[in-house]
Amino acid sequence: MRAVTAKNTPTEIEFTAEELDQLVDQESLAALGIKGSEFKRRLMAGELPNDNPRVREIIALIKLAA
Amino acid sequence: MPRNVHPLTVVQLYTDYLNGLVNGLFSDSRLVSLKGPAPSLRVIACFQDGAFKSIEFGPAAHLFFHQLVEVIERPGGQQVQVQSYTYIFGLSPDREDQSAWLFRYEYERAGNPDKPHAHLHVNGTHGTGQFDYDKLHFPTGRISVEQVFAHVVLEHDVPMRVSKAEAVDRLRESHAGFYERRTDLRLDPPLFP
Repeated sequence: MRAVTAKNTPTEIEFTAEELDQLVDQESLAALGIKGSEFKRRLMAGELPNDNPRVREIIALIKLAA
Repeated sequence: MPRNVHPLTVVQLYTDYLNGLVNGLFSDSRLVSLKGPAPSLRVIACFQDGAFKSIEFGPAAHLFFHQLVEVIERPGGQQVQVQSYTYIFGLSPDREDQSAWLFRYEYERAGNPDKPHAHLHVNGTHGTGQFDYDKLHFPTGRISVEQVFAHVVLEHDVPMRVSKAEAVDRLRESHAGFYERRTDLRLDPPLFP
């Protein structure tokens, strides 16, 4: 993969709740192969692996939307 | 699509400070803060083109940086409080690849009874085959990202924009600031386990 540099990347990016939902979907598919809605169901049921850093990242995104 | 916003917030100052370290020492990789409807929470990470990436150290090493921070109102003004961090050092040319990791530092302020608040995972197996180090939580104190950067500088021979000695001096000074700013040493109960 080509190295990407990003000096011009903005410092802050704002998301709506819907946009965060899309990102949670995208990250859940990449990390666990499941949709965001299933990720949230497993989160509520305590069924997610608690030692997976990708899971922690997605939970953080869900917190941003709260 | 997400919008770019530019208020001069304490989170922005904090993110800019971290970018100053990264861009001064290593590469043009850029940390940003992600903001949602939750008013006081932000995620700080490399996020480009709709995907999480890592801080680049030359062509074949990188650090995945992820912090969940909260803006806290204090008598002296607003302060950034780190709620959790994950720092994953990887050996791969692919900045999105988290599989080729060597070590992983993690911290959760809220804690978990099953593991230390701050701990280290290592991607390896004991010679007897009895232990997968990636499953173990080696307790650490809460560390600064400057300490991780210094480890990378001193032991992984990554390309840098300044001399090794200058990099370590800058990181030492910045690390001292980390200790000055920390509030958990004064305000929170001691962390255990």
